[in-house]
Amino acid sequence: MRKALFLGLLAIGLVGISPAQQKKQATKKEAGVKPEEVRQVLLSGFEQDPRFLWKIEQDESQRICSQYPSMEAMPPQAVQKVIELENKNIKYPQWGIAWGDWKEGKKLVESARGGRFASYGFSDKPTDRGGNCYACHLIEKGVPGGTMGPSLTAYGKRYGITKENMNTPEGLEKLKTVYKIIYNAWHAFPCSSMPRFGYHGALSPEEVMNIATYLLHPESPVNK
Amino acid sequence: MATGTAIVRVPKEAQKGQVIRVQMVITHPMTPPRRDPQTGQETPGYFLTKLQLFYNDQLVSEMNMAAGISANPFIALPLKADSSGVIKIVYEDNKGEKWEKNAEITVK
Amino acid sequence: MRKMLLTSAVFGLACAGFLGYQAVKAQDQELSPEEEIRLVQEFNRMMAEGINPGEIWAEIGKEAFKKYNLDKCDFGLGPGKIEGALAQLPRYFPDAKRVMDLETRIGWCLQQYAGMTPEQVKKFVQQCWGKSQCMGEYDAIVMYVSMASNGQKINVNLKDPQVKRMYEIGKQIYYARLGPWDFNCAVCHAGQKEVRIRATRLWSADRPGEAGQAVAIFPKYLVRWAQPMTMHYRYSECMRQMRWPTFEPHSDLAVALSTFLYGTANGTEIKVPGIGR
Repeated sequence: MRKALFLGLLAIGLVGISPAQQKKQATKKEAGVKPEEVRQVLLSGFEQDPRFLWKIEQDESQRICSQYPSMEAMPPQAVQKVIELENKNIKYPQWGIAWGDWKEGKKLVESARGGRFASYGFSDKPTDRGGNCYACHLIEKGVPGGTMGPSLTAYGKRYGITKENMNTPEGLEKLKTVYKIIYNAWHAFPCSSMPRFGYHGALSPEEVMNIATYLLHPESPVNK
Repeated sequence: MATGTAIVRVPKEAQKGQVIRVQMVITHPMTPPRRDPQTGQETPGYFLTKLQLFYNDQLVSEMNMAAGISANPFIALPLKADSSGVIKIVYEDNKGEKWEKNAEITVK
Repeated sequence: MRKMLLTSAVFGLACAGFLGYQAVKAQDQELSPEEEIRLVQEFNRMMAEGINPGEIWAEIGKEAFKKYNLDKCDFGLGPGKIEGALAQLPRYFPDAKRVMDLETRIGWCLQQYAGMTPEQVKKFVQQCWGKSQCMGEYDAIVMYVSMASNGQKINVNLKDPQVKRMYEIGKQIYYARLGPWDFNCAVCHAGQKEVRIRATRLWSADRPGEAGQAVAIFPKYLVRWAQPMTMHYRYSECMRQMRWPTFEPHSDLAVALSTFLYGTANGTEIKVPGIGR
């Protein structure tokens, strides 16, 4: 009797586990190759410069995003997980949410430099900083830009920020929203093409605030 | 290593009186003369200056070039084919180097 | 009185006409971003006429091929046979026990038949990287071997299990987010939407035929560097822009990506050299 009960529970347990296993197997079986093999091939493809080996480590969100070819193909649980993880990864400037300097932001938006290194040449200096925003966005009217991301022309005007309401709590809340997107785009758009500039340190919180000011300030050329 | 190498391409055969296109591409850096804004040092530049087209040893076309032409220039010149023979280009640059290259054409 | 009205009316009309003409002329000179981009693409199309300067590298490559004893090198069709070699690469080579693409195979043959060490091969490969108007022998050899397959259709054998394995690995790497800017190949080169980065239209591995058009013209002569760009140099430059670590030429990573790209491009006619900005 007890043996039968035990066997029955075991059977139920196994049946319960196998669909989950199968689902996991399905993604791996479609691939046909193990992640360890992929990782080994990837590692062998880079120069073993100890300064840059950290770049090959994937963090949890990157690992999740690598499994799906695009945002649309992601199941809701994965989307939730990435949003949860990334909402914890946002830092604000020392003086909190306040309007920065849009002239500095303009320089950062236009510069394509920052972080590129190759041992055979064309390396950016450590003092080069920039977001290369024109590669994917249209920002100022008349300046050629890319179409990978949404157009940001007259962003502040379209968002309804004027000289009168820019220092009210609602205005600062709008600044905070844009700041968060630039700092860590995945907190609102998981696995998007946009890099998480602030989270990785490509741009400091103050620099991100300057860029957000450049996009939203009524005096900035974007909104004129 | 091979600055000044050229490829000359003409149709192998042509009708008498037909206007053909002599295409050529020459490897050359074509760097313009430059004055460094910081130090004031001048470099004279390195570019092709003259190209002459000979059809059966008769000069038919002469072209003066300067640094405004881009590197590894592609040049196409029209030529009226009237007798079989050799199409030759002779070209020189501002450092005094001179090269030539031939191509043959049969005219019916 | 009426005469004065008439002359002032004519004068006013003339002024308005003149101002209007100026406004139209000013608009004519100022190009919208779409116009500018259209002109850049027109320039790219015009560049495709005439003789490609990359063909001169093929002539240099013919001599360098013999100089480095590469006529003993088997590209899959027999020692020294290069007609159609590019069309069936990457493939598995039992003598090297690896799947190899064209450049990796040239690197291996240089070690075997020209007595170079792996470090010397790497230096030989990278002799023109980062330079302009560089008449390098390696680029010349790759150009010479690639041009011999002009007109043939790419035909990577994806049924071979080793090649299939490399194809799958390449596909996973294509979609693997990595590095401090979270980039992978798919950020730019995948998706159904037609996008452009600044003024350059991007090809997508998901839209049929585009990967083939991009890949079947390599090595590509670049007008801005006045020299040809081979596939591995292109990978290296892409990875530099993606803020990935520096690429190691002739590695398994290159073979995996080549297998994925050439495998996706199966059926495209090879048309080397291509020409680009």
